[in-house]
Amino acid sequence: MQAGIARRLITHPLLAALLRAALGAVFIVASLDKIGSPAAFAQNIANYRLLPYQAIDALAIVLPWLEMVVGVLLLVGWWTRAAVLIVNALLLVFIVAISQAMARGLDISCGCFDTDPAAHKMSRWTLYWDIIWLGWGIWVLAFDRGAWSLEGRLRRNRTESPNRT
Amino acid sequence: MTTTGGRGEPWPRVLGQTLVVLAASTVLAAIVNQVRDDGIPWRMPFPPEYQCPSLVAPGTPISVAQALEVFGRDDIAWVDARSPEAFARGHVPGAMNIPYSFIEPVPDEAVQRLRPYETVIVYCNTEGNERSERMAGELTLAGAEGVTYLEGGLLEWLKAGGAFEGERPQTLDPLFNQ
Repeated sequence: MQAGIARRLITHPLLAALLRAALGAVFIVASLDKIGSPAAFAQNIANYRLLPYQAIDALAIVLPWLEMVVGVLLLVGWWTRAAVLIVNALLLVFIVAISQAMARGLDISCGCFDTDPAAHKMSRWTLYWDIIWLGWGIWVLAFDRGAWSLEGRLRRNRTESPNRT
Repeated sequence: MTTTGGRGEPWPRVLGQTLVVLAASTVLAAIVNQVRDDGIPWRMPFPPEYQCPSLVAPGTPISVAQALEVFGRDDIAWVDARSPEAFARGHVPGAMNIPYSFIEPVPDEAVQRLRPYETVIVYCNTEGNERSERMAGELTLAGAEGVTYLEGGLLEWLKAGGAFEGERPQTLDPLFNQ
């Protein structure tokens, strides 16, 4: 019986909806400074010494907008599975990038929320937070059923439409 | 609470949505990058390690009018960032020549020479004060205090009647091979 209650709590739609919205908000906030300073963000990416320099600017241009778009999709609950798949993939990439930077002893700014090279120097907590957010993303992928979402709302309206025969 | 969507989505549809999100984000990013003033090229022209370092403490400008007011004070150092040859042809009276080459860092002895002064005014004769602004930023990074660069450079200084010894420049200097 206790296992049943625990399972109901863990799989409750509200929890998944809250995590979905929170994850969306995190990505929206993370994208703002990068959208504002593409050149500085390009320098952040370069500091990881992971990519060939020819690819850095393209990533600096597109990635912040991708974060913003998936963040908004998660926040409002539209195309949730697609958005959370992208978010989880991004988080995996960030975890790998941060891990290799730390393993190589690179003393650099994370570039996660801030493009200022003097701000938010990388630490273990940078990595831990990405892992926590990835956990949220996996949770949303597994348990989100469209509760408290725009998509769910529109589908319910269609289902309850009096014109349906 | 009735829940719909989410787990009911077939995977091919989710894959299609993913591709649409990726494409839409790319298009949006491209449009914004094109219209904004500070857009960057899609392909970095050369490796980042060959770029000038970002100025953590960018140079602070001082207007010609303000510089005229404080000219002659003992607590202010004037620094001519141009080449020794340009300095020898003519310079602001009392200025010290610390050439700035972009490639080599400002020598430490230069920073030490400037320590006794409360304010440092760096000037040059290049477009957009490129040389003096960068030098001011590097001096600040290196620990010098009160460093400014003369906004408008030598030509504006001369136009406003600022003091000068020697041959007056008539045009801007090229950025390199001065």
